[in-house]
Amino acid sequence: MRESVRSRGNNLYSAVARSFAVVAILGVLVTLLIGLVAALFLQRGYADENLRLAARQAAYSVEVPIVFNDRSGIAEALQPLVDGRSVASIRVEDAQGQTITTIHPSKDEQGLALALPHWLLPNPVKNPVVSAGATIGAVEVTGGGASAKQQLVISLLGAILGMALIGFGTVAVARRLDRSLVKPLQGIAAVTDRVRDERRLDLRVPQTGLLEVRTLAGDINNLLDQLQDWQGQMDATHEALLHRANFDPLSGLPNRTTFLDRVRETIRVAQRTGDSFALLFMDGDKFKDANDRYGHVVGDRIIAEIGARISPLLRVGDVAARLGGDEFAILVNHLESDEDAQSVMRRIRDAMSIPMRIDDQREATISLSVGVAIFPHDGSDVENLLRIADQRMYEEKTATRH
Amino acid sequence: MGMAGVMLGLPAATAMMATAVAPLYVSSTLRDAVVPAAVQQLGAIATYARWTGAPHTLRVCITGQTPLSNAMTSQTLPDGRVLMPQRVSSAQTIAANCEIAVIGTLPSAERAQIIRAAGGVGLLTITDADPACEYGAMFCWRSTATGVTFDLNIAAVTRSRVRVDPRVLALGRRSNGASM
Repeated sequence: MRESVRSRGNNLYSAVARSFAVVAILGVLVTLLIGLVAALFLQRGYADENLRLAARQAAYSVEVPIVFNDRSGIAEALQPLVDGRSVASIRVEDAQGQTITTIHPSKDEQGLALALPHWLLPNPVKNPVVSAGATIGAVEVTGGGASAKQQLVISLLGAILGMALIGFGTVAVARRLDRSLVKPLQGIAAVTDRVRDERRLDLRVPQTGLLEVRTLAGDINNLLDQLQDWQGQMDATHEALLHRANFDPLSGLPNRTTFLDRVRETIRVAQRTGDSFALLFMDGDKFKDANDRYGHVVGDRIIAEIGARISPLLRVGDVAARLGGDEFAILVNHLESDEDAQSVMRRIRDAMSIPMRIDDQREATISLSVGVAIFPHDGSDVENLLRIADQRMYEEKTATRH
Repeated sequence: MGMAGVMLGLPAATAMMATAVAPLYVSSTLRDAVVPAAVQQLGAIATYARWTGAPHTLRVCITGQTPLSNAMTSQTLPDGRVLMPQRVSSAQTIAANCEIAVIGTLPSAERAQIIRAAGGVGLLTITDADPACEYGAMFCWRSTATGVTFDLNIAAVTRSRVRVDPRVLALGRRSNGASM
C-alpha cells in the first residue's frame, strides 16, 4: 500500500492551506503597511498643523507676560498648551534670543517607551512674539509623539486582530477543503489502491465532497463497472476454452490429453507412495455397425450414453475419459487388490448390458470390451500401461468373437 | 475686593466710610526700590490700553502724594505712542485733560471726585495708595517681596471707556501674582 496521502510533505491539503494563509497574510500586511504609512503621514500633517497653531497661540499668550516681564505669567499662560497631547515643550526666548523659560508638561506622561523615528515627529515650530509691531521674543514649540504612538499601537492591534482573523479563516477554509476535497480524494485513493493491490474489481469508490470530486468518483465507478464486465466475460471465455481443451464435448468426459496428464500425475504420486492403480481400456463392440446403421446422430447419442453410464461407477480419485472414437479409458486409483479392478470391470459390463433406446421404436445393446493393466505390475509409464491394456482388451474382443 | 463703597457711589456714604473706616491718608504701597519697575509697568499697561480717538500722546496726570511723581519721565511706547507725565493739582480737570490718572495719596473726597469723573469716560486710573484695591481705581499697585504687581478693580475697568487687553487683565487678576 502507498503511504497515506495526508502524511506526505507536499499534499493538496497543506498546499492549499499554506497558499491561502500566505496570500491572506501578505494582503493584510500590505494593506496595513499602506494604511499605517498613510495614517502616519496624515497624522504627521495634522501634528505639524497642530504645532503651528500651538506656536501662534503660545506667542499670543506670552506676549503680555513678556512685556510685563512676568515669568510666572508666562508659565501660567503656556501650561494649558503643553498639557495637551500634541505639545512636548515650549521654549520662550527674549528679543536677544536668550531663553527666558522652557515649559514642560506638568505630569510626565510618556506612554509607550518607544523611540519614534525622526520623520514621524513634527518639526519644532518657532513663532516670533510681537508686541505693538515690535518683536519682543519668540516661542519654540516642540511636538510630542503621543498621537503617532497611538497610531502605531492602533495599527499593531489591527495587525494582530487581522492575523488572528486570518488564522481562524485559514483553519476554517482548510477544514472545509479537507472535508469537501481532501477526504473524498483520500477515500477514492484508498479504494483504487485496494482495487489494484487485491484485484477487487467489485469495489466502488465513495461519491462524496465537491461536485467535481463526485463526478470523478462516478467516472471511476463507471470504469470499474466496465472492467468488471470485461473481467467476467474473459473469465467465462477462459473457462469455456479450458473446458473445451480438456473435455470431450460428446461424452462430457475428459479427453485423451487430460487423461494422459492425469495418469502421469498418478504415476508420480504412486511411485512416491508405493501405491497401485489400474488402467482400464475399453472399446465399444459393434459400435461401427450401429453407427453405420443408425447414423452419426445416433452414434453420438450412444457415445454420450456410454459416458453417462460410466461416470456414476467411479469412486473418488478415479478418472474416466474418452480417448477417441468408441475408445474409453478409466483410471482406477488406490487398488487394494487386483480384485478392485475386476469389480469395476464387472460393474461396467453390468451397466452396459442394459439396452439403450436408439429412437422411439428401437433399442440396442452396446457391449464394451475391456482390457486392464496394473501399475506397477504391468509397466511404470503411461504408454506401456495403455499398450498392455489395449492388447488385453483386443485379446478379450477376439476371444468373445470366437 | 471691596467694591461696595464704589458701587454705592454716594458722597454721603463714602464720606461716612472714609471717616469711620478708612484712614484719611494712605501712604504709597511702593517702596522706592520698585518705583522704576512701576513706571515700566505703567508703560506696559498703556501699551495694551486703547482710547477712543486713538490719541498719539497719552497724558499721564499725577495727582496726590506719590514717589512716582519724581520718577515719571516721558517715554515712547513700542507702538510709537508717547507717555507724557504731568503734575496736576486740581482733581476737576483730570477727566477732561488726561488719558491716564496716577492717583497718589489724596484726601478721600478728592479721590472719590476723580473716581466719579473717570466713570464712563476715557480715563485710565491707577493708584499706589489702595492696597485692597477697593476705592475705585482700575489698577492698584502693590509691592511684593521681589517687586511690584497690580490688582484690578473689575467694576472700574468695566465702567471705564478705556479698553484694556484681556491678557493684561488675566495677569492682574491673579491674586498671588507675579513679581517684577
